[in-house]
Amino acid sequence: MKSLLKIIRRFVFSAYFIVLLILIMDFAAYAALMIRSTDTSFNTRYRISEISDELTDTGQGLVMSPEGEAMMDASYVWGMLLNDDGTIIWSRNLPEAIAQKGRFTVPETASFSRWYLDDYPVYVWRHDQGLLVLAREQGSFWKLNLERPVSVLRMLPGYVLFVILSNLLLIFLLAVLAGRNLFRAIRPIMNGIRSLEEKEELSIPENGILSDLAASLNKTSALLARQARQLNRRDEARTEWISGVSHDIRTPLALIMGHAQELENNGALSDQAREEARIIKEQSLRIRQLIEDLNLTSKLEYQSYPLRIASFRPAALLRQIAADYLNQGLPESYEIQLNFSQEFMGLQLDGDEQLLTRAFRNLIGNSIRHNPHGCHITIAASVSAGEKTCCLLFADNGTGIPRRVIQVLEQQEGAEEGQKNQPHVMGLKIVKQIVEAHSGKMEILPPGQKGCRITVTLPL
Amino acid sequence: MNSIYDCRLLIVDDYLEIRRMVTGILKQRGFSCLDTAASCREAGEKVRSFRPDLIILDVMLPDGDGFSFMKELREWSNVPVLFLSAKDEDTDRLTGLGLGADDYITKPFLAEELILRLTAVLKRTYFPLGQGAPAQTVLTLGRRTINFDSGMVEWEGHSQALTAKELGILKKLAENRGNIVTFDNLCQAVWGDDYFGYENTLMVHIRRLRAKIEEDPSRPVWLLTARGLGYRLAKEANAR
Repeated sequence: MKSLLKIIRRFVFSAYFIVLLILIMDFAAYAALMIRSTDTSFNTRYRISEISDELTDTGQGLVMSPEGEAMMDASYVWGMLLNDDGTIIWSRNLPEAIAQKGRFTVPETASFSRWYLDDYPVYVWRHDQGLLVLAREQGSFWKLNLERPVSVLRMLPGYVLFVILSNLLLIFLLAVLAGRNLFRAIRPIMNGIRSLEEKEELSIPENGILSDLAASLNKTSALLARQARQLNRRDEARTEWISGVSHDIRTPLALIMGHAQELENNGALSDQAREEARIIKEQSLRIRQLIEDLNLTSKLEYQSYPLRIASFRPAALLRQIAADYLNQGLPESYEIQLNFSQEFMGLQLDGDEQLLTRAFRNLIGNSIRHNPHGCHITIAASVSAGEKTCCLLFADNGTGIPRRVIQVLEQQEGAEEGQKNQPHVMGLKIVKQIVEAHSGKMEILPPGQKGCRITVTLPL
Repeated sequence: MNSIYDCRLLIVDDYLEIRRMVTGILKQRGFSCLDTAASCREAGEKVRSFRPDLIILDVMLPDGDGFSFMKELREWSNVPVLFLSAKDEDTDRLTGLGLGADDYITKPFLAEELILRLTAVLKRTYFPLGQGAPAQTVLTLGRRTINFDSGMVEWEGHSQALTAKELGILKKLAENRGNIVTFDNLCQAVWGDDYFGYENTLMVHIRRLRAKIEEDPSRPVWLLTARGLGYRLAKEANAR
């Protein structure tokens, strides 16, 4: 959600600055236009005062000099001079309708001096002999008189500032609003992408501006969910297949084992034959262990093994396991020593006691199996209250775990397949799976010292 | 019926070889009254005609499964049933035991395993107070005898009473004679499920118990310590 907020924030600000930039450009363009339109060359090429100066009394009446006429023709269509009474005393190109009037009253003069005369935009100038009136072409100029109270003009800077500020605020609010709408539109998509990880099938409402995106996300999630289901089905099928095979092996194996045992106990046979029968029985027992391990590991791998979680005392469990090993007639050359911290003695954990028993037995059994001439096995356990874990160390002073076994255990799934002469690691793999099923961690410590050291960390 | 070996056993399994092998194992161990059946239907008939004292029952049979056979059987017979099945799932085990089976053994199995479990069921059912049962009433440790009924230790005309706790501890050890019994199991036997924290008290009781049953309590030969684990009652005087 944090990244989404960042996107939205950036979006709001960029929208804001775009609008601001456009406004500034508009102001600049307007200002340029205004400056250009008040330019004399655009407005009047020659000032009316200059033209007025060209109209002189030569004694035979008023005469416009040729320069004056040229200047006048450049900007104006006609001109006239009214004396103080309002009578036309000079004119040039004067339209017939106006010429007929002959004289203008004061109110008429006052009216057109500011505005139009017969729709001609007219301009006036005080001449020695009266009032010079020059007219531009009809419809060519718009005359506007700006007339405002001075008090309003005084307020103008503040007013302009207020308008600018309120504009900025408005732009900001609109940008935030637009951003929020976008945020609302994107959020379901964002959440959808997140929950893709869980391989759930999504149903994001397909409306609004991002409807296409939502639709394709829904489609993708459906696809992923279907694939996950198919994978699950295949995993289940594999687990079932393994369980079926292990079941089918059991009856013939029971026969092999039973008869081998009968042969082993048959006094009529030679010692060698009985020894061979014993080997058959031992190896059958090993196959039994293997199929049980295979079954368990495949179930643990595909999470189809329901953990039976109950409260138990790990110290008691480990003591029982050690006692069981000793009671089953462990040779004198083996020694099992337990070093429990005081907190661990009283510790209660939640977990599948049967599975953990299996894991711990495997670890001790490994030490025994790999050191046929005996070894000293130490199980140390302590509680780390800070990390909310309990840590078990299974160590022996024997031959240790071959490097290759560690490598195989640490390999990722898939990478280990297809390798030849792979060491048998199912026992340790099961331990790892059981511990991980309890959200714990199994680590093989580097074989620096003599012997093997494996830690199991379980959450409290 | 004088001993468990006189019990009549019915073996139900669809595999001829398994039936033969189990029969062989049982005959070799001294059981003589044996009969077999290969299907649920045949087993039903045999239960009526042969009147077995125990049935060794497979789960997967050609005309049904052992579980439903057992359900029907329980409606009119209480004959002990011992499942012997290739189905190794915990759920199968629980189903079988839940139906009232006396034990559940998975194939493949060791002959000893079958015999031990079979005799345990037979003893429990037909000879509940038989000799050689683990909970014997008199325990002999060298020159001393401990009578669990009276709670007395007796030697050469002397006698001394054991406290209830000492008796409980000794009983538990005697039941598992020769094997290590963990602190936890001993405490649980004496103080019940909520036993944690009694380890030190247990040590005190063990010391007193040794004073009563050992010739030299500082060098025990019967009640031995398994360091860090628990205690063990030696089968023979341990002169270490």
